[in-house]
Amino acid sequence: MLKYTLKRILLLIPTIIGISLFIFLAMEAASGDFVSTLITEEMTDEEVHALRASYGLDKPVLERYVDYMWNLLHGDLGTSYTSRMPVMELFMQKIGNTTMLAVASTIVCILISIPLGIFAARHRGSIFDNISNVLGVLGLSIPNFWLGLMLIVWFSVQRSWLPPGGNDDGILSVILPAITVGTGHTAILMRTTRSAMLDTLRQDYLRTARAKGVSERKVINVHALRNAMIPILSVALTQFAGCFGGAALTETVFGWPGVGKMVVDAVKQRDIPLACGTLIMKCIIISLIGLATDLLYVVVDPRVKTQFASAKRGKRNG
Amino acid sequence: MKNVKRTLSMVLALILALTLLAGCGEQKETTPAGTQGGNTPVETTAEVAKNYKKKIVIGVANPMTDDDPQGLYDNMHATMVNLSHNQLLTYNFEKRELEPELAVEWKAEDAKTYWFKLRQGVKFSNGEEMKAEDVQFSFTGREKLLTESTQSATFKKIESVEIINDYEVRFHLKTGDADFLTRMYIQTFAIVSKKACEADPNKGYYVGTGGWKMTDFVPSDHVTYQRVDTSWVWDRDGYIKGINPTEELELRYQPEASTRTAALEAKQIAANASIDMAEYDVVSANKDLEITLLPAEVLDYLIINMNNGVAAKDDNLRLAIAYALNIDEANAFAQEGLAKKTLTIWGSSQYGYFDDFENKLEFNLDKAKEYMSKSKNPSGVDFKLYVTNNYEPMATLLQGQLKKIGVNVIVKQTDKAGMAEVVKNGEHDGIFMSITLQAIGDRFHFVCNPNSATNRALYENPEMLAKFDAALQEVDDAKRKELYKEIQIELNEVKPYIPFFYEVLVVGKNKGVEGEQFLPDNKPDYTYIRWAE
Amino acid sequence: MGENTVKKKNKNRTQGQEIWFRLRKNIGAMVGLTVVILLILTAVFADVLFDYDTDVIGYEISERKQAPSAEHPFGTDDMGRDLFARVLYGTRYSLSIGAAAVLIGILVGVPYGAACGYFGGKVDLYLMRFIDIIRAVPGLLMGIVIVSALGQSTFNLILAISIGQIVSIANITRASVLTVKNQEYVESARNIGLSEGRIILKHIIPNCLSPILVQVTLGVASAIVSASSLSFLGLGIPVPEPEWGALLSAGRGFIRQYSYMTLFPGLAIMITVLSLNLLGDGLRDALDPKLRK
Repeated sequence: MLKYTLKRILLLIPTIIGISLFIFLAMEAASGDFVSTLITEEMTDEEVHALRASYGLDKPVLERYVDYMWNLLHGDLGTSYTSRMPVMELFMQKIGNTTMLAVASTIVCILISIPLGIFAARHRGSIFDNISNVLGVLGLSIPNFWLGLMLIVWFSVQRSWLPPGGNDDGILSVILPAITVGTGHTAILMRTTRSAMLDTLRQDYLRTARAKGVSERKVINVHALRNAMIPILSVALTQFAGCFGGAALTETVFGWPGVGKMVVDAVKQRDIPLACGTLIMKCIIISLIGLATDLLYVVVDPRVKTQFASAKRGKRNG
Repeated sequence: MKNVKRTLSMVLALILALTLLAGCGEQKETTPAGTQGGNTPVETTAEVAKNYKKKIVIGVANPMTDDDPQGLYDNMHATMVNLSHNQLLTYNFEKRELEPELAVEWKAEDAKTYWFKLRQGVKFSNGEEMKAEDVQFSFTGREKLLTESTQSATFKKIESVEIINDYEVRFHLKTGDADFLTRMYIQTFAIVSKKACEADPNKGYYVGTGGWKMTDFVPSDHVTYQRVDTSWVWDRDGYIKGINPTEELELRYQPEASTRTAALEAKQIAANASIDMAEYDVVSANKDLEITLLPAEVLDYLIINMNNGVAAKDDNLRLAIAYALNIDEANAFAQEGLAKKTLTIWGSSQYGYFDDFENKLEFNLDKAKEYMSKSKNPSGVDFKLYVTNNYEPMATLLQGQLKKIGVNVIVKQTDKAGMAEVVKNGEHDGIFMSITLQAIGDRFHFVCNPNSATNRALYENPEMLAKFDAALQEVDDAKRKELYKEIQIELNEVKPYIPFFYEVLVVGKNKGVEGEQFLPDNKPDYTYIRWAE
Repeated sequence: MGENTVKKKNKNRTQGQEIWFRLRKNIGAMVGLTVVILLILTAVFADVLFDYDTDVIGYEISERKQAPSAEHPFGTDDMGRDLFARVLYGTRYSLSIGAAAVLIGILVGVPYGAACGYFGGKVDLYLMRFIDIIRAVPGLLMGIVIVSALGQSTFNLILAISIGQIVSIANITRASVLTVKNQEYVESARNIGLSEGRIILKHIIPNCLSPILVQVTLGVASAIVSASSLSFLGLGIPVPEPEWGALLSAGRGFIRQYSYMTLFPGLAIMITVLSLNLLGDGLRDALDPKLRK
């Protein structure tokens, strides 16, 4: 298992090299660079050149890339062009908010998906199954920025129940953004729950339990659910990891100071160190969560231990 | 069921704990807006004591990225500097003249020499008194300003700052600049404390003479200020006297316009100086808000590529386009008809403004078609119009308008960084954008300067450039204005720019909020803001 | 074992009829299929229903911001254009962009995933690294980076969206190939002496078709959502084309008093994505040999 963990961590290295190279090359191909955003009317061409040199942007892209990677080896994520603060510091300022939103979104997702999935599994093939599926997929289909804006109008403006964005009211502020993000993930988790429940519901040991006289409700909610929990939790954790990647639109609509929007803005500003550094940190976090999920899987389910050689990577086919 | 319940409750408890930890990490000592802030009676002469909120939050549309008052100059950062620092002079937009701030008397001895007499008894937030050496340091003591400041061009012009005595200075410039005095109102020319900056080269510039001191700065999120009781601004003639009852101010970045307006309505923020025109109907109907329409010093205009664009060497096409543009319709569309049209690109408060042209441009579709038929492509032509995100609707309207004369507008959207590149490569036939105006006469020097990175019309006119240069050296008022008049007349004939109108700002505040100064240059001054409950 | 039993029962039905029979029983999938067909018809005949110049992009400032009425069932937008025409006409863009992105996904993703799955070993290791790298970048960000790098145009939009499709399809193909490649009939083919290429083409890929087919419907749905998100950020199709995401973006400033401007395009996206998903789910259930009633 140790070997597996090490292998996974080592595989991070080519990924990090890959995404940073991608960002550097893409920003190079993009029209304009960071200095283009700073140019004002009074500046002459020479001044623009001097300004570009002060940011090191007059050097060719590969040279800048090698410099960046060299610093990265020493744990230095670089300095943001826009605010001239260390990328690591900027990241730490906002990661707490993103984590809070990710946790809250996953809770919302779980609270909706699992009961819906169980319900769908129990009434498989009937109209209720279809309705549950529709409800789950509905979350996926609603454009989340639209949902966010509508939620603000309904709950903050028309009634003053919840704050309209920002994050100074603690838990109250996170409710609307969490609903916006969480509903988008319900479809996958619901389907996972449904199929996991269906798998377990067919098992022989349940027949035994039923024969023994255990109530149907207990059969489902205790025995079946407990064994279905493993894939369900693993998908939920994958969703949780995914929250660290996206949510830029939701963060914009709610003014939620998270890292998703930070990266998007960095790309728009051509702030290469910030975009690169934040992306690398996010990638590390997501990979570590994924690794923890897979390890958890191993620890909890003895059957998986034997399948270790063909380690499952990536998403489960939901 | 028990097992499931137990697991779920453990998980929930863990999650709640995590959330609270994460939330705690970010918490500041704030009271949420909408609740009582505590009693702070105001020492005024004849008013009844009111309850004022201790902390006020203001929503802003643009991110804060630079905490150095002498660094980045734009609407957001100027708003910040207005709170914490002062300049030598300030500009009164109503009277259109310079007024004293940290300087009480001033004189242009010639185009290169400027004398100032400083105000006495002004304290920095660190207790030190502002003296001539601070002014000298602010303009010549910080090397990074020569490269990293938006106003670096002016900083570079300064040869030296002569200290005559503790309260008198004389600026010696390398080249003449008739706008030098007017420039002094620009927030970037803030006066910082020499002692503070020398003691702390990294953050010493936080110390200023303003009524507020920056205490917390999170880029693209918020910036907070604490009141400085010893500041001179609380006893300034022409402004509200007495220490502001507000103790803490926060400028919060709320990028989405609808959310910002919702925050204003929900009383989360006290004021919002950037309400989207689209929401004007909604907010003006809200009885709890005070909404004002402020004519802004922002010009919307169409730039024509005069170098290699399709309308560059084709005067008739340019005139056809100019006559085909229905600016009243654009005004109705983008500004609810409230904006003030203009025939010149000069700002209405700008030195040298002139608009009494003989050939006044008006919407005339027939004339437009006539010129089009005389142009090089009478049957139609493609016109690449570049815009940034927020002007896309306007671009769509212009697309429809110009279609009527056979000009096929291809709208290309780009971001700020991309726009500079587009201009450099001359990929555009036209650009529609806005420009913030300033009171300085030399504002449009770049319009005919081939070396300027922002000469978006790629227009070259050496005679006009010579006039701009001459005007900058000219101290005689009448002569200077005559030069600018000639420039504007020529621009009106050639039409590398087609000015539309000055934008109207929709600004709003909650009832009970007072002391805010919404200024036409969209750089509000919130120094005196207070919110009575 | 179960398979043989059922095969005996339904001997008189072909595999295709069997799938259709199962699909028909799924109400959700049927509704989805109907709506998708209607959408395709709308897209194809949009030109007949509406005149592009007058109905879709013709504007009239005096008629702006009118609430839904008999004359304008979806109301008018900020420039006085009829939203009913624009939303319906927008079906063209959303469906074609989605289909194009998925097509690229198939053309690139299937061979890619098949190669990974079939050859395994070093090939799999290196090729999957690229997939990992792409997946490490969040979808929206990837789109923003690509459009920023290449410029805003319809083609670049499709390109940006297709990357996500390639990744999904490659993954699914790889997983199916892994499952299938060790089956008996593949062993037999190898024993007969067929070349690797022919084995992949004739035996393996046809058996992976069902998950790929399912992914097609889901892929178009997710492509439409991606396109609207990018349009919302101003990186989508250039104006004045009435793509749904662009309509949402245009209406977002008016969401308070004129919420119908965002309601109808939002509903359009929702209904389209929902129908495609229901159809995809139904196909997955119908094609899945494991599920038995």
